[in-house]
Amino acid sequence: MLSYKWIVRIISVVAFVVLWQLIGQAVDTTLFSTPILVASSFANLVTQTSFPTDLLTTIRDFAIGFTIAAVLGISVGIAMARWRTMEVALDPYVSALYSTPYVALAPLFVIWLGIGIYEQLVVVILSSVFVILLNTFAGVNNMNKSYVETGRAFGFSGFKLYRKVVVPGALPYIMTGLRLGIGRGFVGMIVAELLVRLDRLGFLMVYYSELLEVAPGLAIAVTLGLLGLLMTEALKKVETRLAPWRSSATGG
Amino acid sequence: MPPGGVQLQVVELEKVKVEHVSKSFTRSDGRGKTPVLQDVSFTVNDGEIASIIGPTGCGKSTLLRIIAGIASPDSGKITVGGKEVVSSANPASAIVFQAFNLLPWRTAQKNIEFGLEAKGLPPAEREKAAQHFIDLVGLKGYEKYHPHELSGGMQQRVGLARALAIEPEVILLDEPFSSVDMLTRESLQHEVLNILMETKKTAVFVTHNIDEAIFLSNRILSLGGKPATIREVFEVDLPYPRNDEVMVSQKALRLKLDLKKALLSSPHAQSEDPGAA
Repeated sequence: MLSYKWIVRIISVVAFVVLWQLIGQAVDTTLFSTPILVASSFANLVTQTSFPTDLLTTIRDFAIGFTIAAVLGISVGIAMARWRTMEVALDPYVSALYSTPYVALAPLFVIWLGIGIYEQLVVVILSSVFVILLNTFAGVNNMNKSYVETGRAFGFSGFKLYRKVVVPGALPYIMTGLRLGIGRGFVGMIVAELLVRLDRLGFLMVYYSELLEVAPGLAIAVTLGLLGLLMTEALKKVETRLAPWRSSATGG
Repeated sequence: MPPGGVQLQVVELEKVKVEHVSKSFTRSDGRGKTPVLQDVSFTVNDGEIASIIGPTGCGKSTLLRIIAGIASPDSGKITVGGKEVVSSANPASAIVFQAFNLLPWRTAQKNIEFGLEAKGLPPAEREKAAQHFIDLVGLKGYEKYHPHELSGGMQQRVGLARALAIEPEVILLDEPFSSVDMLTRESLQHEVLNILMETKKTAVFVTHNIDEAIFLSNRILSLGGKPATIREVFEVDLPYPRNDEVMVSQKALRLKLDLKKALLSSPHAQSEDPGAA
């Protein structure tokens, strides 16, 4: 049985695709392309070009970078909330670095690290780590104080108190940080690819766009969009499992 | 010692011993301190149910937290089950909170196992213990529910089971019935009292409700003044179970009046001091 949510979603997607097809045909297929053209150039990309391996490399680099960013952001965020000295010492850096557009520095990273995985990792990590860190920090600070009091009353202290009470209590915030981090990190990575002319998806997208090859350009864009959607949905699933009280409170 | 004679037994009568406890809070503007408790002393005997009664904000919850070891006194000494309370590590007492304080990410059962995890009990033993107390508080079938799926009364049952599960020397209850609705309150009071008597637990309640204090306790300590001290101690010479008959008896009504007088005579009883909550 399909739920109401899914019925609406499917209708919405079908309507959009049909509308695009009709408008594309009516106006100009080269300029706006159509879903059918995009689909056939997607098939082309998959069979005729390095697109599949590029896609896998992109996913791999992102997965590695994002994992590092998550571990780093969560642990430093907790540490900053735990130790006042740490907060005072690091706060100016975090605030300054948080709003720096790292993609713009990608060419510099290339000079330092060469073109390829290392420079891409740095872009992903820097683009996503601070939003994860700040959310974790806020989560620990804004957590219901009664959780910690309860933990202490029942004999928890030190690291165990953090593992059993503080981290789960801050989890809703941490999850929000991760979700925002995925978006920032992924966009940062793709833009960096085109900026440093790394021969991958971002670069390929620009290449086709500049040649006015609309269909393959859009095919890549749609692929990346779906990838983003997939990651966000996966994270939501994790959140519902780990923080059921919160997801039901906000209605999924 | 005569052969086969009686061995000298050290009967440990006093389960809770509070000696000359004083506590003050630093004022929120950082200038000076507000004394909350001054020279509070009392004892609670084994198996006894005591209530600390006093006006809102008089420092009774603070006193309970000091006994639990999650707040420390400026001076004085607390002994629970013969051991001095210096911190909340390895607690000899367990607390039941006014606002339940369940952990929302844990199921009812996992909340009940919480204190046992701190003790380092293996999972199988934790589960067994939790199941026993789930049955005791009448939550069978709700093991897998999260707190937000339970009513207030049921949440407080989880809170009670969590406290009982660590097998504490003393159970401390901080206005445990004030966050549930009227109808639930009455049945919950009965049940909690039954469980405490069945398990022969020593208990200290904090309440501002005279009827509740009379219904539950062997002894009522009235706390009042600024800073607060124990002003009067009332022995409740009424038989259990305290059904309606007992509660409207001459003795009960007399006690009620005396308690009312004691509470009203407390100077500053009506004044509000947010720092002393």
